[in-house]
Order: sequence, then structure tokens, then C-alpha cells
Amino acid sequence: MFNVNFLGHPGIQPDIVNNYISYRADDEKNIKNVIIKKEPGFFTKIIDYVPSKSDYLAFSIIVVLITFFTVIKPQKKLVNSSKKIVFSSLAINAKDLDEKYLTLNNILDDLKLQDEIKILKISTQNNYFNFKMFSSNFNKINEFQKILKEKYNLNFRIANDNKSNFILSTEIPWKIYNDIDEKTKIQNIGESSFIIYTIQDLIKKQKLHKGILGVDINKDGYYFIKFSSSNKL
Amino acid sequence: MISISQDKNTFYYIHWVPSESGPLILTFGKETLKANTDSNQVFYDILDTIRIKTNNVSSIYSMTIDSNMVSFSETQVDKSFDHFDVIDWFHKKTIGNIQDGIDETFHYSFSKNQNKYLNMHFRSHIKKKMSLFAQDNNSEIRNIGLGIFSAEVTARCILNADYNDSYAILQIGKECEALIIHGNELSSYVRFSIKNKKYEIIKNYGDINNSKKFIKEIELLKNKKNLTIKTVDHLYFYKKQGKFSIVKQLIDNDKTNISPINIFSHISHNNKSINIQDGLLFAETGCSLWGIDV
Repeated sequence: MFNVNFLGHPGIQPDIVNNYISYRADDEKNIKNVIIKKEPGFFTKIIDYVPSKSDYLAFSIIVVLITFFTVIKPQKKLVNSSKKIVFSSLAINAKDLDEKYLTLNNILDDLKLQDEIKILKISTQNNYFNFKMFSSNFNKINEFQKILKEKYNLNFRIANDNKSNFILSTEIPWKIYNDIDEKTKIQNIGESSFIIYTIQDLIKKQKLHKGILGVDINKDGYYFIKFSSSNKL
Repeated sequence: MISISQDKNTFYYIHWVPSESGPLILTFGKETLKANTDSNQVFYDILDTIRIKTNNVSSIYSMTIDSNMVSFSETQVDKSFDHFDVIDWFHKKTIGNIQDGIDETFHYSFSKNQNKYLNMHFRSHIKKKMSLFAQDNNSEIRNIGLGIFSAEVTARCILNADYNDSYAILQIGKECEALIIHGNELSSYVRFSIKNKKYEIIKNYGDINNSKKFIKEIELLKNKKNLTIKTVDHLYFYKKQGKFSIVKQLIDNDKTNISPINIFSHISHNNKSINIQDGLLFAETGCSLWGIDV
């Protein structure tokens, strides 16, 4: 199909006017202020966006899924029921508990025999019985580590702090259960022997696994022990 | 580039520049000449008015003049004669010497099987006035197109109309015009209007049978008896000034092989949005985009 351009020569016009070009590449040189189109902003894109059929379909699916999870809540109901089961029928493997109590008790007994090694910190949070001891004598603490490792097959770690003390630490997997019978709360300050006695008494009464234990040493060399039974639902 | 199209006394213009993401329309608008404007000065004055409006010191212009500014005729050439000789003889005998004449005649071939030429007799003074304006304003007139023929170029530029085996361009106005193209060759150019709720041919150039079939289909479309067009693969339409119910009908009928020639839905523009009906008034200005990727 031809292009009409009366600027050309009159007469018979060719079928396709090859020399008819409205725009030439060198026109850009003649045009000042060539404007580069700016990309529309995020909100402009959203406002100008025209949803397609697939968008409506995707939106419907999302609405259905949200409705399903918010109204029916299948997962939440399951979790609630399992919580009740745990609380109402506290199931403890007596053998496992006895083994762990025995290990702890023996470690504490062994510690009593060590003059130069003392408790630094005990914590039962985060599903571990975290037990830290310290001494300024590396050889003593290293020997004690070997004895405990051999006896109880536990992993130990020795580190030193900025006061030239060597710290021996170990972790025993630990689970705290709710105490549904009674509430026990201990808050006291004492020497090392008193702390060991208190902990062994809790083991003897089989209370230690029913609460959170925390032992810290203060600047004067005295220990602060805190035990509170757990009764959270 | 500033592209202008004429619709009687009203001139529509777009001012576009190339940008990284294709052509970008900086401004668009329309200017109407006062009734008492000297007819010899029309094109100089309108070019100058739009130059001031677009704040351009020098630029490139494309002008599409109204089909009423040109006279048409048709020449049938027998197969046994050389077309060039016959046309030349016709020209000398009927119009006179080209160099001395006040008209310039351009002959465009219809589809080969017709052995016909569409002759456009163009007033030389229009070209002279535009050249004078370009000279006075350090500008360039790149193209002088003609009404619906410019809209057809637009349809090829922005809608790839020539990808169809056949297509038609429909100009809707008080008096309608159509170009029917088969195999990338002009089959017919027809002018028609509505009389007693029926479309009637005012003047036809080229294959009249094709024109009749096409106009019948347009009539059925208007009366909602048809939703698609069958005489051609695709119909592209635009409008002139005024309100025409068929335009809305065709725009709403978007699930068929009928498309509006709305340059604003294909070319970026900085200005405020423009509705599709108003956008159709600028269809002929799109011919200036010929030669670039839209």
C-alpha cells in the first residue's frame, strides 16, 4: 500500500514509496530536550494496574485459604489438645530420671572431694542442665574432667577467663515438668557445701526436675541459689 | 516532530520526540481557525499558531490535509497500452503542462487486476505556503499527507494493519470515507453517507463491488445485525468531529476484528489522559511515526 506525500514529484507514484520516511535517525540531533520517559512509581503502578482474570482467580484462592486457616484452625486445635494431654498425664520415664539424678548426685559428691574446684554457675533453662565449675589450678581441673568423663561419659569443656581461672563446663539434656502437687520455692545465700546439700536434697525428694534451678556466685564467694517449681499450663 | 491533521477548520496536532522507550508525545491539542481567515494563508497561519503553542523555534512538521482540499479522478488504462504513456497523455490533454499548472497531479495505482489509477489533484499553493513557513522559521516540512490515507499509514505504523491479507480503514463523520485494501494493494476508496437509515455511496474510486459489500456490512454493524466484519480480515476505524452512535458501538464491540485507531493507547504521553473518542480525532497525525518502532 502506498503512502501519500505531496512533497514528492507529481506523476505516477510507485506502489510502495520507499523514500517516504517521516522520521530519520538524524532527527534526534535536531530535536532539543530529548526526554527520557521516567518509570512510573510503585504506587502509580499499583493504581494504574488493571487486574486480569488470573489475578481475580489467585485472589479468590488466597481468600479461601485465609478463611480456611482462620475459621477452621485445624493446627491450633491439635496443639491445644496435645498440651492438655501432657499436663494431665505427666509421663516420665522413671529409669531415665533415676539415671540423670544419679549422675548429678555423683558429680556433686565428687565435687565435694575437690578442695580447689568450686561451683561457678548452674542453670537448668533451655532444656539443659548447665553446670560450670572453676579453679585457678589447671592440672586439678583437667584431672577432674578426665575422671568425670570416664565415669559418666559426658562431654566437658575447659576454658579460662580474664581472672586466670579455668572453667570446666558440661551440659546434660534436661526437661522440666510441671509440679501439679505443690509449689516449691527456694531462695537462699550460702557457701558451696550448702548449695550442694540443697541440690542433693531436691534430687532426693525428686523435685529438681519439676522446677527451674539457678546458682550464681557473687563477689564475696557466696552463692545465691534460686529454685521455683514450674506450674505453667 | 509536530504532526498536524486537518478536519475542515480544525487542526489537531501532536508534538512528539523519540525517547529510550519509543516515541513520546509531549503535547497535543487542537486549533480552530477563525471563519474570516484568508484561504491562501490558512496553512501558514495554522503552522505558525501551533509553532507558538508548542514553543518551538525550529522543528520538523508533518501535515495531513483534509480530503476536501484535493480533487480526485480515476483513470482506466487498457492492458494493451503502456501505463506511463497513457497517464502522461491524459495529463497533458486534460490538465495541461505540469510546470505551469496550479495543480499537481499524483497518480496512485489500484490493485493490479483493475488497471486503474486514482488521481489526486493537489493545489500547488498549499505546498508553497508551507515551504514559506518552513523557510521563515528555520523548520522543515517533512510530509504532506491526505486525510484517510494518513490514517491508513497510522494503522500500519501502530497496529500492523498490513499483516492482514485484507483490511479496511473507516473514517466516521457526517460524510464517511473508507479505504479497502486487499493483498497490500488499494482495492477501493469510497465516500458514503446515511440517507433514510441506509448508507449510500456518494463517490467511489476503484472496485465498486467491494465497496458495496463493505458498506452493506457497516450498515448491518450499525443495526446490530452483525458483530464482525467479513469482507476484510480487519477493520480499523476513527472519527471526525461530531457525535456518532456507531463509534461507541464499534468501541464497545471489542471482541471482534474491529479496532479503533487511537494513537494514545500505543504511544506514551506526558499529558493528562484522553478518552478514546477524543483520541480517535488524532488518528491521522500518527502517520508521522512511519519509519520508527512504536
